[in-house]
Amino acid sequence: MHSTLVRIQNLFGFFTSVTFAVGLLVAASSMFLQKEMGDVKVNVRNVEVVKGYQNQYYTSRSTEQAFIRFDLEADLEPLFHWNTKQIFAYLTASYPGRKYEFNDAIIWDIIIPSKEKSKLKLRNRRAKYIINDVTNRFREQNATLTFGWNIQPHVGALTWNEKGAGSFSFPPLKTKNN
Amino acid sequence: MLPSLSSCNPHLLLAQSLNFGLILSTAFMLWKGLSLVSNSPSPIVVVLSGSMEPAFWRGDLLVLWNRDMGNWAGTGAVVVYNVVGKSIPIVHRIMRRHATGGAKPKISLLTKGDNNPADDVELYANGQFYLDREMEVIGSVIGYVPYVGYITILLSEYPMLKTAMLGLMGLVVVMQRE
Repeated sequence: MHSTLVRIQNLFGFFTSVTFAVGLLVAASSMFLQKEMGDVKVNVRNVEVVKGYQNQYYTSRSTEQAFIRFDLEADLEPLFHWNTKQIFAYLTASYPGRKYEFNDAIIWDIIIPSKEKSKLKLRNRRAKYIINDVTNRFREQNATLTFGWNIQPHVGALTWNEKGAGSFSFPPLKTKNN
Repeated sequence: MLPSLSSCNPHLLLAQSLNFGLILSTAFMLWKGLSLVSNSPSPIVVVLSGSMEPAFWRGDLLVLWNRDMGNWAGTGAVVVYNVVGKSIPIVHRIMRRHATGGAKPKISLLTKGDNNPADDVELYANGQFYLDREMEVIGSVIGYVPYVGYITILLSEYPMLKTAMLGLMGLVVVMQRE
């Protein structure tokens, strides 16, 4: 009985150490397999700022909301290697403001689960998320666009990176008359 | 390694309890040390919900970092937050970030789970639209280890398992004496 127990204990201990060591090696290998990504092309086609209610939040507040249409071209294939589980890619609009000086809002994102789906080519795509600001006023501000990505590994460190992707301006408020 | 307590040798008993105390305090010091380095009250967390699938699954282990460095603090970063007055930590991604200027900026965040259709406003307190970075976020996710935390979910969801495990341990102690 005693020896059987000791054997099971040893076996389990050996199993955990080997698993741990392999995991550590795989995690470390990510550092050497990382490749540079090519250019990202973003073209903003249309931006509109309107005032409206957000029925999603059950409030009666009327807020400024921005609707954006854009083209995007990016190839994330070089970022995939054996320890890449998925990539979360996103497009962020950054703009200044009076009370809050630094504002960043993700307007579109995508989960890329495999190499086969890593070539992005969007035409006249509507932004996934409507921008509505914490201060409710961001019309006529100049904004820059950034394409960011988060590489999520099977095991190990998560990494983030980004590339500039142009700029645009929020137009004046669009009213029902014009 | 576990001694039979019935041998009643006071020297042995004292040495053994000292050993046991040493193990406990070492673990505690490691945890608190990690807490200091990462500046997070809970530097390692287990994922409890599926709202970030397929990035994180229930039972995966996450390593947190709570100092504003690199890209772990902006939009696209994954944070763990605890809404004031609610006790369940949530792992979700930052969708919007509004920061004031100055040396001690006030940072408001809007988060969303990758696997959820809408943002987190409904998970926040009543009438709350943004998270307070300083008060409510306990860290950004920087490391990932799959499956390892699942045992804690099993133990808390099936109390019988805890009893069974304790019983098995006791049995082993009794058997080893012979």
